[in-house]
Amino acid sequence: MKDIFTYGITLMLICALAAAALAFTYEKTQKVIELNEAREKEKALKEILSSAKRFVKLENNITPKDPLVNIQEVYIGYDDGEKVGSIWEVSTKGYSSEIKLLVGVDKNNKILEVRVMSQEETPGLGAEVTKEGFLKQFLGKNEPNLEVKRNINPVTGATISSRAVVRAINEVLNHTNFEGGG
Amino acid sequence: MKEFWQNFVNAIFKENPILILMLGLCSVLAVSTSVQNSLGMGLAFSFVMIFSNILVSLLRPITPYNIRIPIFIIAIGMFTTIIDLVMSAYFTELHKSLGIFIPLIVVNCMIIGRAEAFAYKNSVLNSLADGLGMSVGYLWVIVTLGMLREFLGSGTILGIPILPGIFKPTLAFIMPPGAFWGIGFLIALLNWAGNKFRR
Amino acid sequence: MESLMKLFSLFFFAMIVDNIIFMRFLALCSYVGMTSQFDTSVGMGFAVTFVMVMASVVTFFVYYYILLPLNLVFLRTLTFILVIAVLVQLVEMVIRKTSPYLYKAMGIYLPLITTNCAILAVTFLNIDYHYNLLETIVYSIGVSLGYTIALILLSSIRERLAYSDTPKFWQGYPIVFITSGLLALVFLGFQGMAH
Repeated sequence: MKDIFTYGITLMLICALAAAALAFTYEKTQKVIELNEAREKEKALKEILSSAKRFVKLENNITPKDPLVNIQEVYIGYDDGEKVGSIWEVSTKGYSSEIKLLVGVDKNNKILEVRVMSQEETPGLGAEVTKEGFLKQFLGKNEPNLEVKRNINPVTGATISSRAVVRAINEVLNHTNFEGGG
Repeated sequence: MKEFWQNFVNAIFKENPILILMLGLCSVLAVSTSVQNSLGMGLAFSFVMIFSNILVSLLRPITPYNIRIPIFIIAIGMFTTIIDLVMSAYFTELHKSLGIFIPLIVVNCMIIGRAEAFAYKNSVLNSLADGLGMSVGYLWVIVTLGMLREFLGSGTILGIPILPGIFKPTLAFIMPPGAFWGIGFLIALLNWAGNKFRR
Repeated sequence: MESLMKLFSLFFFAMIVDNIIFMRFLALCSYVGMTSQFDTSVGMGFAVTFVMVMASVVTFFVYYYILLPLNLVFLRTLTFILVIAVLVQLVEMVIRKTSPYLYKAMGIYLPLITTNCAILAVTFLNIDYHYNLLETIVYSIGVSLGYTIALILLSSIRERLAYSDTPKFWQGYPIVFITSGLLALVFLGFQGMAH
């Protein structure tokens, strides 16, 4: 009986110490992580919509029509009160990972730039959707009627990853066309 | 002092954890697609291995035999989580490349195995030596395999192209088959070397 | 009907296309260490299936009902591995009480299952892929069956290899790995078949 008591106390003590050490490390590192992420995003936003002087994040979440796409953030770019475009942070379900994209749209609701921020698709196949050769097909498009093999050429051997990107772009175009605020 | 040195050298060749004892294979094969990844993984592993050995040895006086395994797991898990958090903050790219294999350090049979077989029964200094030796043993294998696979699979080493144009890399080497062949080759090599030195 | 097809596709993906051993490199220690005989492989396969599915379900609840609401996600590694260790201990005790025969046959593998990287990995993947409870169960069954298939494949080959004339320095583990590399090449061919 005494044994169980000793075991219990010992385990609790060690667990408590471990948890304390971890909580401390977590707090310290979280600040760094958040700072890094904010800086990365600022940089990307400026690069995509270079004419914008400041960005305003849309407060209300837009519900996407496509269940496999998630609209995470929308930033409207302004240059002295005039709207110059918007940047959409979307994620779409790829073959083996969530593909995160930043889609820049100009003030005429045409696609300005598409950037893949993160993905874990198959190297050499699905991961090729990050390459310019594939992404440049979306530039200038403004109708949400994009379809792999009909008007967009997929990456060879990576139809699923390609379709995922197309779905995300269609979703963005859906909203830039019908939402007044963009 | 001599004992320290002996423990250290033992783990590098004679009782190499990966090639002889067949432990910790998963991370070695999965991550060794490039030298950079291998180095990152090797160093993360070393951190956990060395500090776990030290902590387990330090905790000996208050670790009852019957609950030693959970205590090992808590200690190893703690260091794994620490290195996971630190890497995601300060080495974000590497952290993304290594992905799930960083938290998997906690189930690396080498670390738990050494805690049970060595650190639980030896002084802190000797456990440190053992931890260091095991880490070096792990590091040299994973980096060698990384060099082999990166060169044969992408034609580069640390991202620098070697013999561009002359040598055409084969994708198979940075994919699973290459990993298996690479390590089979290394073990055979070690066998051959061991045989030579025995004479 | 469509959701059933989706589940089947997930199952096939987990078991073959993304085979845990040949495509993902997990559970290799047991794969290499347990496959010298066919019978031990089958036993290990079933033991792992059992633990993996149970661990997936339990960690699912732990994550969504305890860690997430309490903002303790960074304790994920530690809590999951402790859950697995406890489960393995429980399974061992239950088997020892209910079936001494089974315990004798499987006894040695059970503690080893705790360090099976595949189990911890699958518990993580269930969360990372945002699977619901049903998908979690299907995925873990698929993965563990894929593991069993890999073990059976290799042990069958190894039993034959034991009688063949392998070159001197390739005997033992080297030839096992070369063989595994060939098997992995075969499984590469399944890529793209399911999603």
